Amino acid sequence: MKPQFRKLALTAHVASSVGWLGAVAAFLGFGVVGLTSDDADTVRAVYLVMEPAAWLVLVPLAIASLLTGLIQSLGTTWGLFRHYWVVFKLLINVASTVVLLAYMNTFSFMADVAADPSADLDEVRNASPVLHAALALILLLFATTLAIYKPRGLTPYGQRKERARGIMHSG
Amino acid sequence: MADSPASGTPRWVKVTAIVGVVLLALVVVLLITGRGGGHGPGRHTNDGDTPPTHTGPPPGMTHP
Repeated sequence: MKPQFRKLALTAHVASSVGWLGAVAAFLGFGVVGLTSDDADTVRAVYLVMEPAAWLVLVPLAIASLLTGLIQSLGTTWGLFRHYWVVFKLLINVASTVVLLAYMNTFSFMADVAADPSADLDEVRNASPVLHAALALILLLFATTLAIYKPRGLTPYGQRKERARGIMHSG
Repeated sequence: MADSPASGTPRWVKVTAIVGVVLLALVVVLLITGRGGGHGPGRHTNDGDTPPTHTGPPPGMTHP
């Protein structure tokens, strides 16, 4: 990958990944407001806005983070399966994106309940977004830490590649 | 976290993998036993097989 494109891809990956982290933090805030606010309109509004906000912000950022991460790893010497920290980041990213896409049904369900005027406010309140956002925040913070520290450790595949490269250079 | 390619799996990888597997097992147990606050996989896969967990007031006890 050319240096200019590599920097552009890295910028896109950092922006989407950190943006995703920030958006999840905002959803944690939404969830806390939904559970604690005394204002009925505010509580209903929180659960109504979660679904469109997730489609417009969380899902695009998650997919962008995954795609730019793939470009970043496959287009550089880091590779996708050579270093443990890259493998862990990939697993976290894929798992979080899959759970998020599956969770869109739950957002839709909560919005339906919030839109139902006959539904009691206690039915509208739901602890699930707080739980999911908190877990996602921990996972994404861990992924960010891995990206910054890049702890050493080659996978068996990475070790084989490294040995092959050494042989080529010495040969 | 020092390691060389020949030193095997680094300690941080083992610790992270163990924590990950324990957490995953905990989530699976919570989902299977239904102790996750009625938050089973059916909640995520609203494919018609599993009714939504929205439990409104029973008939005759609707709000005015």
